[in-house]
Amino acid sequence: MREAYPRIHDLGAAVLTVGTAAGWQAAALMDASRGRAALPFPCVVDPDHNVYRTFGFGRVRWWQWLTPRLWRNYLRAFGRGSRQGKVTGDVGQLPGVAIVGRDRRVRYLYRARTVGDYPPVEALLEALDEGRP
Amino acid sequence: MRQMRTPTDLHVGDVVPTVELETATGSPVELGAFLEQTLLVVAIRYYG
Repeated sequence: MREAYPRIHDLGAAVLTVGTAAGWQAAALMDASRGRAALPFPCVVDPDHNVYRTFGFGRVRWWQWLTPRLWRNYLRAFGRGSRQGKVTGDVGQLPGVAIVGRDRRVRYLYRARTVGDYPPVEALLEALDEGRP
Repeated sequence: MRQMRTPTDLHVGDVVPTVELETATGSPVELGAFLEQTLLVVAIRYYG
């Protein structure tokens, strides 16, 4: 998302990341530290799972921890340089992506089916482009 | 005790209801505060 942000910005959109984890982890993402640049968009926390419930983002089922797809996603993230840090928040919460217009209407919704399941960035850019006024 | 909400079944085209969040410093903030323009909401995991 960091790499795609300039293109998202050019399409007239903003980015907000939401996590169930601790506030200090969100703060760390917004600060340049450990050789990592600060994210150019806000990171907030959702201890009550309000975003997840609102958009219907699901939960990891126990058997999904055993599936190759989940571990492929982990390895892909590892290959991109992501490293497991301290685990806080809800590890059973699945991710998801939504595009919301200024009128608060949902324009795009992607509910992950397993851990690390995100839509391709190109699909998001296409959805943003289609929704432009 | 935090109040838990009932899951919603939101679809494309629906209006997003009030969504209460917290800033990294623990201050309450509503999703609408970020809706000055079209918003890409990415629900992820934070690892620190």
